Amino acid sequence: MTNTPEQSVSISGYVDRKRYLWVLSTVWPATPMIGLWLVAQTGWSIWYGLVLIVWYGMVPLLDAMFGEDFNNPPEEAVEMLEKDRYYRVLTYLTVPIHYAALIVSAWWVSTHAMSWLEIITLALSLGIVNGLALNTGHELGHKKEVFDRWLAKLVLAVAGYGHFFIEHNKGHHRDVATPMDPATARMGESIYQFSTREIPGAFRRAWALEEERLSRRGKSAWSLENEIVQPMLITFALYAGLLAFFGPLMLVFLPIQMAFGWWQLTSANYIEHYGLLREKLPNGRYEHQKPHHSWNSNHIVSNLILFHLQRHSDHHAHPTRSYQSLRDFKDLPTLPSGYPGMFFIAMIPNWFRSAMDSRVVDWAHGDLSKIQIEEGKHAFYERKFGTIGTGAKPGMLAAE
Amino acid sequence: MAKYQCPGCKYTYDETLGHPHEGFPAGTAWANVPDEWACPDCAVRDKVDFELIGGAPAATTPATQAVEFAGIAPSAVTVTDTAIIEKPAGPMSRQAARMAAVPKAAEAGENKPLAKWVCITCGHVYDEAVGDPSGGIAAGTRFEEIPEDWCCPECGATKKDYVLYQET
Repeated sequence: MTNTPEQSVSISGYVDRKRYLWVLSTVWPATPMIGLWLVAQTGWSIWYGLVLIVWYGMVPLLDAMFGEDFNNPPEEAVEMLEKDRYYRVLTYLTVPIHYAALIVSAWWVSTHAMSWLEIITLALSLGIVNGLALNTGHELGHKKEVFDRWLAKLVLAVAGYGHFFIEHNKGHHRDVATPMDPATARMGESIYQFSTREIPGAFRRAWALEEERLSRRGKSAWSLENEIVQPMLITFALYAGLLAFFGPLMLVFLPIQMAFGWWQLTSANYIEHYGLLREKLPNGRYEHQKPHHSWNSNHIVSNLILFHLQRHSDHHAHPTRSYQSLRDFKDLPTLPSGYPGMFFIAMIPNWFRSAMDSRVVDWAHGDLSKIQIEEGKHAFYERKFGTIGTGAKPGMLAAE
Repeated sequence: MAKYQCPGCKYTYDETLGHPHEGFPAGTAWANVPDEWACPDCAVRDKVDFELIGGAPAATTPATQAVEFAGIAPSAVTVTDTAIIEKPAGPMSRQAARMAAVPKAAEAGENKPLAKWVCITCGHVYDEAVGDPSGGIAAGTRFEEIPEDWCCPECGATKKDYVLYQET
């Protein structure tokens, strides 16, 4: 494209080649039920772990095979894409699937003789799907319509993470890639350290935001209007119902699947902004969120099962854009694999650092002062990368 | 009653309507919204980034902002050539509005209407009436007059990545 005015007029006949492939994002949360069906057919307990095998094993392989998709919808087609209800309906349909996956799995656990290993495997499989419930809740929670926002609360309630709705939109998006954000990981911080900062920090921030909003309305935070309390009550009702129907085994099964769902969100937050930092302006504010403040991944297979979540750079710069319209930009910080592969290696800190730290340093053009570094790790990274920020004193290189 | 727009996602705060869910009942003056309040739709921009897009600010408690605005609002809205822009004057930051009071183009007596240009990489719109004050481009600067090394304030794309933007 060049600067010719003629090209600014609408391009007619644009066809979204991924249109029907987005159905994968909708049906993929049904995988635990497919696994249970396969157990019933074959009697092999490996199928309890079907989701784990696909998520941590097959998808990273497929990402490596099919690679990246750099296509963007033309700007002229975006309005049409945004208005097309089809894309929105796919996210709606995901909500009942999440309820079904949880209820069917709970029923299965209570009605079949299973070993502890099988129960835990199924709970972890369901945990991954809970992570997807958070993904659906994420997409819906960014919409402005009351209906979409209620569906977001409903689906987040499955994973027992209703405060995400407030925390993510009003907290994380505001503070991302600054030291104020508990959901932005620092370079050198392992996911295990990160989780102890992120999980409580996110809840505290969400609660404070909601308390502030309600106080403007002259209400107490302990009110049914509190949008953290609302999904929390749905979670209580749902889990109490499961306990009543399916017995005390739920006291073990439900916490495991819930915790592993939270772990998926922690994994996502961990990799999405690892090390990245927005610059502080002379007026004391941070520069506003730009595409290069989030790690991006164009891996086609994992994007198709995650409602394009991995096009995270555009998402943070333009949070109100729907998944089907998210774009790739030139020169973005890029993850070496899709989320599932990255989530896996994040659990092995040395592997993750060897894959990511040099990318963070490249992103900052070697200037360590432009990176968020874990406390106490500065000296280590200065030795390792030998690069010093513009603010550094000359002569420090001599120490190399 | 004035309207203020988020320069990122185009959410509009209309003083007439307020934002009751956020705790600002209808009629709440912009000056009474806390400065640290972030855009309720995108949270990418804060109140101080919002741009006056129409109407005169409500006379309220003697907040400094209201006073500051009252002086410039009418000129900012009326001075721009109405033939150019169908929507009211496009986004106007406080700073930009002040500069727009005497647009360069008007001084030069040019009749060609001011246009808008869109970045094909990220969709950022360069409005000649507004300029890019943060990038040192004064309001009223025509796209051709921008230095070649100027780049998109949103994504860093080059000037060559812009095409003329036509509102439909």
